Amino acid sequence: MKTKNVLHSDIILKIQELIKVSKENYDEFLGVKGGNWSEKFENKIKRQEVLMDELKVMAKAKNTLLGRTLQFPMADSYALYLIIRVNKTNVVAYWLDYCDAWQDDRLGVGGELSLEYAKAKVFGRDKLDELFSKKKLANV
Amino acid sequence: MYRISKNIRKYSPTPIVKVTVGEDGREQEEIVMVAVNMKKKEGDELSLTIVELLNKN
Repeated sequence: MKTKNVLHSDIILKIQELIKVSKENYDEFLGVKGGNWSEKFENKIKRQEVLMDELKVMAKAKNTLLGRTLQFPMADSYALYLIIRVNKTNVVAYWLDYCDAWQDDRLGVGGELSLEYAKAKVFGRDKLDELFSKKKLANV
Repeated sequence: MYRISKNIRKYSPTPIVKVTVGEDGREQEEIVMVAVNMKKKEGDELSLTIVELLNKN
């Protein structure tokens, strides 16, 4: 376990950073004159997206599910979860307070998912991204 | 996520369960705690408080 942690220490650091950013809450500035709530909120989302992209590249390079995100469709948006631990049969997902902050009914603020299910979700997302990037290239 | 089980007990406190997502994407309940030696009402109240604490982000 120790070697595994050392192996993915850079990913773990990024995960900690992303969770820290996600926990930032600017509700106290909501409706306050000069509080710049929307600016702060947009800035938070941008930083989250940058960190998630970096994590995706790192996780793909190391061929691991650690640091990958899972999306579950909810109403007009989706709930976003970050994989923070990978075990032999399951993964632990942590809720990210991203954009309109939806939560999955099964996972809430965080929980365990079967490894196979998480793999299928991540693989499906990657394939979809690949497909859309190909379409974008074809349109250029 | 932790919650009170969906299989609500009629005469004794309902257990606290841990919800996990299985291979098919469906939720599975795993009992983690049951309040015993208590009246149903008191046990359920205690369980609810514990669930709230467990689910704090």
